[in-house]
Amino acid sequence: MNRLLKVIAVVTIIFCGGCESAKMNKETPAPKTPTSAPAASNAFGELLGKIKTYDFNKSRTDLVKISDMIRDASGKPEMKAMEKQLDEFLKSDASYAAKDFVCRELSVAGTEVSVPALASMLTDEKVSDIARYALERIPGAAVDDALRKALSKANGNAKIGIINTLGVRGDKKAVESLAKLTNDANETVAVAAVAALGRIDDKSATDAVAKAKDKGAGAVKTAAIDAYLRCADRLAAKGQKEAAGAIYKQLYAASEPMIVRVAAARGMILTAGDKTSEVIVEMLKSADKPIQTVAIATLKEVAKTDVIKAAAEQLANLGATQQMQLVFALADCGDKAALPAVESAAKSTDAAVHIAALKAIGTLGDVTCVDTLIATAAAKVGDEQKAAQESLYRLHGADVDEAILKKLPDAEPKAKVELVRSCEQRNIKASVPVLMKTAKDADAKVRIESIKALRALAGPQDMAALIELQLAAAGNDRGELEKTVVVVAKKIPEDKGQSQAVLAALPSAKDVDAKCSLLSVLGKIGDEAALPVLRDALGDKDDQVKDAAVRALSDWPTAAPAADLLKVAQTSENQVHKTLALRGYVRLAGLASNRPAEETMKMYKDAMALAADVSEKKMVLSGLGSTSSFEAMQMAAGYLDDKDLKEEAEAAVVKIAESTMKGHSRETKETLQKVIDGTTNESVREQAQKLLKQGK
Amino acid sequence: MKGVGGAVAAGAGLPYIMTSVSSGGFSPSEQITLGFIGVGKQGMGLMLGFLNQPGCRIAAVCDVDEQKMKAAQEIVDSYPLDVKVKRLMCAGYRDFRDLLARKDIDAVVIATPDHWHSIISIEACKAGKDVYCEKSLAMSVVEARAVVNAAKRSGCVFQTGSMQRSDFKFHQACELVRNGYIGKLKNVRLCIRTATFPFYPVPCDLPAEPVPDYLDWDMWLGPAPWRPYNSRIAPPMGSSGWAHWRDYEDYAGGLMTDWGAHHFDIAQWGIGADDSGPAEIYPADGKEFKMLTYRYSNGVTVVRDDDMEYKSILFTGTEGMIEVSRNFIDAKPQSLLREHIGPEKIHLYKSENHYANWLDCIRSRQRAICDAETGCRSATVCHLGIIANRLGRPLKWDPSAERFIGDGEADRMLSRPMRSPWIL
Repeated sequence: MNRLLKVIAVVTIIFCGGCESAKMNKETPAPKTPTSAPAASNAFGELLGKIKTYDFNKSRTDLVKISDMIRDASGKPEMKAMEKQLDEFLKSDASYAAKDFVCRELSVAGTEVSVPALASMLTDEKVSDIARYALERIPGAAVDDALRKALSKANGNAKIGIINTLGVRGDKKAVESLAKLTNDANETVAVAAVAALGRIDDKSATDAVAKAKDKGAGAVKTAAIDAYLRCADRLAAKGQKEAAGAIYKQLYAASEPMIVRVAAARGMILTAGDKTSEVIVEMLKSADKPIQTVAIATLKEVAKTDVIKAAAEQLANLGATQQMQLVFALADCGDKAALPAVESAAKSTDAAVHIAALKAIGTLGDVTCVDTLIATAAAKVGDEQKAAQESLYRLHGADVDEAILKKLPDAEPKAKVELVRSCEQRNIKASVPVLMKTAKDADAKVRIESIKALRALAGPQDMAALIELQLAAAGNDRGELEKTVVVVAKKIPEDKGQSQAVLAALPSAKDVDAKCSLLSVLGKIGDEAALPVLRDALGDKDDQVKDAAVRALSDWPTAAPAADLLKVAQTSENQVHKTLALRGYVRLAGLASNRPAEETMKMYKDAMALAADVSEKKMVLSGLGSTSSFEAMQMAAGYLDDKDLKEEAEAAVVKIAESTMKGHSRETKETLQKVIDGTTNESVREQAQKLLKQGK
Repeated sequence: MKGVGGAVAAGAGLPYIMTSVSSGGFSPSEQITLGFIGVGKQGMGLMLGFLNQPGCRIAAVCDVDEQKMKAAQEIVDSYPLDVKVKRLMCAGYRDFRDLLARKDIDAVVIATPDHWHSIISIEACKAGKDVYCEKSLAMSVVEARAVVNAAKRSGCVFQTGSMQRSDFKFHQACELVRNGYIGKLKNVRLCIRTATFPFYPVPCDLPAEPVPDYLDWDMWLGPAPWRPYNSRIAPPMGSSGWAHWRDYEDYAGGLMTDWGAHHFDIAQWGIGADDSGPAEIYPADGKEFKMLTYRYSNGVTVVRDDDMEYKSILFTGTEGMIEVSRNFIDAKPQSLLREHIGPEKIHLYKSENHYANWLDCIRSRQRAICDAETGCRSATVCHLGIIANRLGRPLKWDPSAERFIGDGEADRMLSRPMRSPWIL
């Protein structure tokens, strides 16, 4: 299958993008033949000659060869000669696409050797971008010199591009020229110059940006503000917090646009040093909600206890939306100093604040919060209950588990349910003995939750006690306990007797119901040691026991009891048992297996022969659809004309056809065509048509 | 501000729009107003996803393809809404800057081809919008870091579209791995194989075709190097399958940044490297490394294994293994999958719906599950693999400095020069 997919992938790549593209995707590099330096140079020159007229839609074979040669020569002496050949190529009348390719190669492997050739392209708007593509990545002062020289000669987009590249390269020597351009009559040039200055790590550049901010107007001023923020961010990152803080303070002025003030506010907080609490509190007291919000959002980046405490003290003074945000932020900081404020917020009458605080308690709270959370989880519904429950499950500290266990036996039923759930969710293994008791509680909900919790927490050592509970229980409780026993049994390694405890309990089952309950569990565990017992039970004189045995074998995880079920279906005088056994038999036929396809087909044929009515035949056809043999398709196709079974037969044919298309293309297509012609089900027709199309 | 490919009209390509500040937050009853940028196949899917989310509405869509833009408008305008939601007539734009200039739009969803992600994300942050941006976050490591910086600076609630993080199976798998349920993690193998797309991006060799009158081809290219139009890269509306811009190096990173941005993202989550990354990258050499291999500083290896049976991620530890895909989760021993992880263990960020998580975080101003930093780091892993494959040699990576160690050539490939007038 994997090999097939790989073949498809390679074929598709060749089909889609040419075989040269496929080479880029090969995981195993092709072996290379060593060549001498002059020979390589000649070969390189010849290849370059060949690609002079290259255009975007032409074969890339020679381009790929050139790429490989450059990659091999990279860092070696011969690269210099090759680079010169590439430079000559750029000066030639080669096509745009060919030069574009060469510039891309130089962007990775080029050196200052290539600068003159590339620089000569900078002022030509047609090729300026591709020259910059290379130059922007080539290190060295020669590139910067060339860019600066070209700046005064270039126009239009070429000029903008050069300004951008000078900024990206952080060329300090360009500051003077760029500063002049901030006053350019062409606003677009001025904006680009301001932005470029903002990228240059130099005081004179920052000063030029500040000047443009103060004197500029419109787009230039806006760009300067953005560039000024960038300067401040850079200073802050370098540890020059005072200088950065001064810029942020300027930009925090009420006269600046709010989005700028927000960015500046964050910067002010992060550069405030020992005045951080003061700054944050001042911002939380601001009349501007976005400022309050950014102060809240920046708390995590500060993460100092005194700051968190100071912020938490402001909680009650904020509006509801900002209260909710601050509660979440305090939780995110994870500092327990904020717990008193969060607990107060949990009493808020605003639903969003209240729920946020309940959630925050899960992170910040401790054993003292258990009662509040249990009370809320037990008394409330919806989001409020969910928040309290989740916090109860996340509350830190071993003493929390102890408190839960201590409260559990005597709690009121609703609280008891929540305590039981928290035992499960908190993975309190020590709660198993208590849960064994609450599994017999007077309250039905407590019992069911306890049985479910035991499913997660009980271990192999608890099997006997669980079975005892199972046998003593009735109704829904017993059903849930059966599930629990199965899950816990499966925690025992397969070779260590998963069904041992159940088998041991079987003789002591006091009544038929109890025996049937154990047989059902054995079927679901599916341990081989139980198979003889279940087979024996098929011959039990009690119909109820027989019934349980048929059902248990029908649940079996492998096809091992298939013959037993077939025999029941063929020979039983009890119609219910016949039907159950046939269903089980069809189910087992559909399980993954290593048996030959012919055997599987025989199973379906046997089943179909036994099917007494339309619904049983439909069931067989439905199972047949999960097989992938040609014979299965033929069998399904045999029912396409049966008005009662037509729909199931069509669905089975379509399902099987995908796997038979390759080996039995003609017959599959004919059968699919028959489905298309005869079906009234649009979805089936579409699927069949799709398969037919794929098969063509 | 239009016609950027012709006469110079855009200062550095960008208008430095400063419009709304949604960062003040919303009360639970307030609707979050969204704009969609890029409404092709993926964008349309996202749009339908958000139309089904309570608490938000769509005010505008934008696409350089007029047909797609109009189709999206029609869908929004005719979509049945909750009676309590006030319907807005959906505006259509061809230029994302016009959409970002709308003061009433609180947040944007970006589903353009990858080569546009960083610029539009950064401009949206500057405009005060919260951002949902499709993966892969950016076309280079430098671009991805610039997005992170812009998001931090503006206080933007940012969601990267690596939505597997909001799928309980991946969450469960990573939480089990992080808590040592499979012992000490040794190896992660992942499969991103998809029949119709190349693993690594290839140069575009498609022939020129006439540009359709409904398409602004120059704007479609944006910061990417110029080349003539071809419908395989920008297919017309109604084309079947995914557009093949994903194959080509100027617009995406092949499967490495397509499925890779999903599966490497999960590998990073399971390893616990959301703010870090690998230390060494080994391209396939046909010898020791049959397939692209990453080694993290804790010794864990991540292998892109194209021969795996399923398109899944397989975590192997000293005491077990967990395999997870979009369709299944499996473990050895199987009992691991029934484990309840107690309060003292590591609990990973949990989200049940990637869209709802972002909208909830816009209200609470909390970090979204796949924020810009996470998206940046995952995209970086993908790009490192592409660079190692391109150079054909092992590389050493410093995840803190985000530079290669002792490889100037590789460092050059950490950024991509942009066509004028575009710049980050």
